Amino acid sequence: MFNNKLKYSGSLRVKGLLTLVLTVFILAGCSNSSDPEPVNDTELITTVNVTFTNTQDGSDVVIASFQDIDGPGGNDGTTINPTLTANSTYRVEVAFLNESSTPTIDITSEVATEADEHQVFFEVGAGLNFTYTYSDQDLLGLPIGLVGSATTGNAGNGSLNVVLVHMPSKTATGVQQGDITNAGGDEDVRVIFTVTIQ
Amino acid sequence: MLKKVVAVLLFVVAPNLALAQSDDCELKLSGVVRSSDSQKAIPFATLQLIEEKKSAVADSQGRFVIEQICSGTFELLVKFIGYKDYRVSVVLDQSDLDIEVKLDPTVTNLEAVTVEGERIGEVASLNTSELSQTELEQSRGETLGSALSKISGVNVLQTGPTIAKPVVHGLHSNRILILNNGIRQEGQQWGQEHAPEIDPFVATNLSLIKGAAAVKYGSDAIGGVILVNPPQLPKEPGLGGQFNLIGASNNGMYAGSGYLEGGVKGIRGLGWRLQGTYKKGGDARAANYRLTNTGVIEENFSAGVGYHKTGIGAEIYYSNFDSEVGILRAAHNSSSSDFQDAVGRSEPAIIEDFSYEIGVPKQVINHQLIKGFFHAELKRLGELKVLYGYQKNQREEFDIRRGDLANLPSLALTLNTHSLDLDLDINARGNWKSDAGLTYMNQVNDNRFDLGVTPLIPNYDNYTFGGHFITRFVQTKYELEFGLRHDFKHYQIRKFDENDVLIRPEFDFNNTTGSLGFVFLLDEQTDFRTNIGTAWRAPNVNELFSDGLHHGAAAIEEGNEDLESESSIKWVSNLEHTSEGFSLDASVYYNVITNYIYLRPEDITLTTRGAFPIFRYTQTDATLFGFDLDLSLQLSKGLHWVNKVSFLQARDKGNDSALINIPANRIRTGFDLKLPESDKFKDGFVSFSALGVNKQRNAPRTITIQQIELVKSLGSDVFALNGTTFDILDAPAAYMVLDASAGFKLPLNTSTTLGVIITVDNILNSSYRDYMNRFRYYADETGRNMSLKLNLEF
Repeated sequence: MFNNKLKYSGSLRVKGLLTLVLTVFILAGCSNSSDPEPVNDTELITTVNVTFTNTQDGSDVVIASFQDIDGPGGNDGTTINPTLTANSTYRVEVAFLNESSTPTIDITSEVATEADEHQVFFEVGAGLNFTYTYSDQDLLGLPIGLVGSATTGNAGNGSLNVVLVHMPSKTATGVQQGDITNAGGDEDVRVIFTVTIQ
Repeated sequence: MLKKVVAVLLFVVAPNLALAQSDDCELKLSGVVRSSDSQKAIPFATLQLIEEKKSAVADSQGRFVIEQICSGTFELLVKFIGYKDYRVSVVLDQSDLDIEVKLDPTVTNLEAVTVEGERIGEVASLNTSELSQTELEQSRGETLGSALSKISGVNVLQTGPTIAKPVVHGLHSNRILILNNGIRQEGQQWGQEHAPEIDPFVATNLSLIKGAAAVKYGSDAIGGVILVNPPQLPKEPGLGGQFNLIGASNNGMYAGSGYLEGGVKGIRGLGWRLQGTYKKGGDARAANYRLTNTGVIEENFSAGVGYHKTGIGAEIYYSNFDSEVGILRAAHNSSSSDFQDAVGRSEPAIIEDFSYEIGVPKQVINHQLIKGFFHAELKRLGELKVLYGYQKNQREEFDIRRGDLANLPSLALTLNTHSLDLDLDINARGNWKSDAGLTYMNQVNDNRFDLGVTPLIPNYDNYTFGGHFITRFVQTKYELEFGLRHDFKHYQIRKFDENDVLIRPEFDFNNTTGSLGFVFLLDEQTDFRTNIGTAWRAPNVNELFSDGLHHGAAAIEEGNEDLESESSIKWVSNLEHTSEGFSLDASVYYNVITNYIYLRPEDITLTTRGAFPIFRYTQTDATLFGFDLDLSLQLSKGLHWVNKVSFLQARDKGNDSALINIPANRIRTGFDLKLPESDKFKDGFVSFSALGVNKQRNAPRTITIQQIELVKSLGSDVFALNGTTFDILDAPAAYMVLDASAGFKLPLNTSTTLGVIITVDNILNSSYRDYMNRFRYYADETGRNMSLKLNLEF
């Protein structure tokens, strides 16, 4: 039916094809992936420590902490809630750490380096007599929140949310005073403590 | 150019004046059926002499005889799958006639199949729906997914306006297969926000095989198979080409795409093509606001050269796809409180002025393909085809990161895939037509480890071996088809376990699939196909090993090493009827999937970013039942009423609940008016249509992020009693949008045509959200968009 078919020798063609198929197989091969290399999750924050130091009484140091060593997923994070003295003034220092890698990565210094892109907020829940004031400033004179001071009122308890915002609009209304409402940006950290004042 | 090549329809050669006969209905019509293109005989074509109500089927050599015909003038109808129906008037006047019928390959459909033979022996008992030439022209400049969604049964799963994945009968990602130019598209298709890395401008044919064609194509074809084919390479000398210019109002998109092609003088059968596309779009706009950071840039090119003649041919093809896609800024959230603020807002928190700039989050993707194809006629055996493909897929995803890390992606994957397909289209024996093939694929996935982020999926390599045999028993009025396939897939994973110890777990999956189908040619205008087929897929690496917070979904997703293969039985039936002024294409399907892999909520975990639900990949049984209906009625000359309906009911049988991300039922109805033609004005049309999409009433339950937080703070185990999946927001309301388009072609001279198309989508600038858009939580769909599409063909 196909005259030109006669021009080719069937067996030659089969040989040619086999060679081609073999070549392609060699090309396609059976290559392997490489073994992975260890990765430090440089941005992961596993630990938030808030240190309260009583300005009148150097021995009154309270550490509130939230720790989730295995990062998102796995086990729940654990919270250590603070108990503060009523009607006192505390110096408040915040530290962010990645304790999943060895050695521990200090994220606080990264936040300090890019102070203009970060701000820590302290959201005070109902029932808690707690007022926070920023003590630190970035290069533009806007608050950061790694260091501040807090005054406690009468006894009581309530929630205190510590929030680290990346890329906030620090000049928006209320943001410099510590109101997160208009801050925008991304929340890199949001941990909730229950504070007791007695 | 192509049109000219295939314009030759039929030669009635050698009307053989045999012995004169008396007219007592003893005349004989005989002949041979060939392909107009390759000149090869077409076995088993069906022939019908309409007025005489006589029919015949050609033999394996393409020969046919119809006997006992009275003298007269008859209409002869010749049909064969993959070729255009052919009608010719035959005059039998006192003598027998021996004719040669040349069938024209279906240009927009199976040209690759029938002419280059890449997919001969495709599953005949499965219906193939394709985008018409007009639909294809109207969708130029859109994403591949959105173009495909014009086929009934295909929806899109979107991630904002620029990322669209096709969904076939409710299934997507690794549950469907895309064959790009005959090669299985292998990118990181597991990701819901990973669109196919294909330049839609390359394709002149987009079609869908609606059934489980796994028996032919191997694993993953559980939902269906999408075919994306470029036109054939030219075989005749001469230069041709096409150029497209497109502009769109909504996102300031402009695109140019074109190709040049030609044959080589003196070497018939040698042809080449060079093609390229540039596309740039800025932030899209919803009805009432900008969708900030939804720009896109694409730069693609491809080149092919091939030599084909009767009985032998070879082709080589290279394509490069480069794209950078912005992801809606407001859809990136870090803490559960950020999610609470963002989800369900009437408008996003971050809205900026229009810009072409693409900031983070974004995806940067490169996909390269090298294809080698060789085919040869083997004496007495059949046609052997060797198809080799090499794909290199590079994907980088950029997130909002601190400091110096801002310029580093947070995910960078390179996937290298080699594939080799051998296919033997066996010469017909009697009424049996068969096809056998072997498949090999090797895949290597590598991460970058200097990004400061633990990779979402590990390094791995895998190989797959498969073999298939499909056979068809062909009769005049019906065909019976049977196929069998076996595949073996091996994975080797390389990762650190939770104690930072390097592990290299291995997985093997063995699966046998089969398919049984019938084609009934009810009359010359109607055929009915029914097919029951099994399909399978191995769990993907992300399902086995992913681990981390999903920034788009407020969820932590954990892999599961104990997953088994997912397998499906899909039954699909299709009735197709075309007659003067009326066409109907109806499909019904029922798909039962055992070991359906899904994300099951297991727990809520407290992190430094708040409380998040943990989802773990688990298996259940699922059923998907639905129908697609295409109905077109001619109301008056040139005016058609066109309707498309899709209905789908999906169920998680294991948990007796709904499945997530299943397209809602929809109907598109509209009017097409074809304008009168003249020598100076061709293919003029005006069309107007309305798309109505119901609310997904069969959506999973809703648990908001506030509720997750609350439940966690109360310490109760919310998923202990009910482990069915949930959504963080109710399914959006039903909606309707109106679209219109108009166009025409102006022949500038004998070989040059200018085509103009104007489309207006969402004419009323309605604001609405679609359940199948993953950004339905954050923002509305795009508002009104007007586009102008110019096409110069020469």
